[in-house]
Amino acid sequence: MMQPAPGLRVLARVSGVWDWVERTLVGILGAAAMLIAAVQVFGRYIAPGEAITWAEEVIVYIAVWAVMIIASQLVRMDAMVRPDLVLRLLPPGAQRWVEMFNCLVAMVFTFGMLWYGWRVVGTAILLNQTSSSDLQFPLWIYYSSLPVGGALMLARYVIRLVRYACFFDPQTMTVGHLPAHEAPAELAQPIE
Amino acid sequence: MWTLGFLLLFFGLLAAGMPIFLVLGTCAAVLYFVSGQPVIGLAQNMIDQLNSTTLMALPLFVMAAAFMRRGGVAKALVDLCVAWLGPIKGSLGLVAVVSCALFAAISGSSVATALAMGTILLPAMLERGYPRGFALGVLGASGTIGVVIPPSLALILYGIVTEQSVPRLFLAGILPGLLQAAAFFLWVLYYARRKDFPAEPAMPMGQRWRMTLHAVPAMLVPAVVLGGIYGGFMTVTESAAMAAVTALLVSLFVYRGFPWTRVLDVIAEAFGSAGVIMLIIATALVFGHWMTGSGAPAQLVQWAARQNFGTWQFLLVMNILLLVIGCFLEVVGTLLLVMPILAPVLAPLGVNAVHFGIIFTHNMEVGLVHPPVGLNLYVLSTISDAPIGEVIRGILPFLIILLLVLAVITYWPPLTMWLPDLVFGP
Repeated sequence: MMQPAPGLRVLARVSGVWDWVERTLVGILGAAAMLIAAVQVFGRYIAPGEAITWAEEVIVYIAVWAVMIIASQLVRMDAMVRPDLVLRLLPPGAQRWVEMFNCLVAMVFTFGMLWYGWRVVGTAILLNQTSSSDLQFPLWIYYSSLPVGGALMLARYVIRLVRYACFFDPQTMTVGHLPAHEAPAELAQPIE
Repeated sequence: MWTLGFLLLFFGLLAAGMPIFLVLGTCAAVLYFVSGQPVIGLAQNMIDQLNSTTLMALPLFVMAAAFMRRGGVAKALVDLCVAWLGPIKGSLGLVAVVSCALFAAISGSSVATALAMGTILLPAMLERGYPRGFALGVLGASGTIGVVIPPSLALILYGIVTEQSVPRLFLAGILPGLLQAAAFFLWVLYYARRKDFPAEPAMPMGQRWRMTLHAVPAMLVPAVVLGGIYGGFMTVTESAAMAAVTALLVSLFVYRGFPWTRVLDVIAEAFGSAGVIMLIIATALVFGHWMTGSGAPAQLVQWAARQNFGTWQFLLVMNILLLVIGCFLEVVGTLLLVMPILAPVLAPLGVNAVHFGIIFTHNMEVGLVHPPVGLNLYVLSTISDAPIGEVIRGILPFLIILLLVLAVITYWPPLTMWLPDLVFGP
């Protein structure tokens, strides 16, 4: 096998770090959501004086941020739910073109998420919007998840498009017999 | 003209194999654009739809299930069932049914159940000389019990889309789930006698109780969820978080299925599964709002009224329609595409929305095990290397039982409604 060019190795490393940052961030956010809810429940019954009331609201903000970040990984692993019945019937060459078309539509939509999401954030900052609860959480922090998620997915779809356009491999890049909907990582590494 | 173009766009994108959240999002964007509303409203609407406390039960339950699946809980449940059912003929088949039902009470997803149980029980059954088709059939079919037995992700989603109480839906799912498990159990019992399947050697009493004790921590999770919600101590979302905390502690310290260094990884994996669903929800609810505003459900009601549909006829038509849709889409996709249109129709036709929720989810179970897109079929085919045709033949008897159970659920409402009515009042 040929040694990959130094440029490609740098790219692979960047991609690895990118994945790690996304997954770790989501792990931390998820753990925080779980712990905050636990503190709320325990607080209510064990130390009512110290109890917090804003847990569920904050969990929403944290979890939606986590979802928007992990969306990037979902695009990368092709784990989004999609009906691939027709795609399975097509020969690899035709699948390639359909996939490229899908990437283009996805790029337009995720760019829309980025662009209009950014404007939603801008409006929230301008009007100083806060949540209607006691917490009065500044909503622009929550809204920012939308353009960030859009930007991350947009980047992944651009990469996907480039792969299908320039580095197409019918062996690995066509729809197989396994819909990778639920936690695809698990099928790759079976449970002991 | 517009309608035709729109339908072409919608089904064209679906046929192109585009992710469902993009299909719905793109269609919603086109609708906003054509009707002259500013598209920024779509972005605002999407992020506002996700701002729901009930919805957060979803990632937290998925987290709990991921901890349990990784944590070696499935093995403890299987050992428990072998200890007590072992000496019966065809016991491993019975173990599959019962341990799937138990695991279903921990995990909210059918595919997760089939996956967790399949990886343990399939090799064991093949080693003991069970025909592979039967082994795959019983595992794939029993996995579907997970869709209705609480905590069920499908029922949480149904509750959000149709604005029904999730605790009520959970209670309504219990008896139909048990009926299904009982029907499978009896069939396996009968089939095993006819085909003379092997039994397992009986364990000494002491060992049986040791196995039982070992499985107790695993059963803590359903205890926390059900006790928390129905004792009135916690909301559904809080109980999901407590289920995740309990599952994490049990997996780390009792069964030691994964080291604490992997915790963040498992959480990220869970958010992957939940994120798939939540992204679809964000766009599906926007789309659903538009659909309701467009008057399509109202027209459907008028149409049904003109046909003089009785309740039972409506339910029959719905079941057939859902079985057909289930051929092309999986649970979440069907639920989020169909329910926004159907929800307003139920009350005028005299159908209880909770009852319909159970009919709907049971219908989706059938979709999970019938070709061409039954997810459980593919999961089992993947972990066993069996051709998909063999899996389908093995699952066929169970598919017939599932359809019979569906008929009972549809036309005998007390099975579904008795428990929630007893607890919450009619």
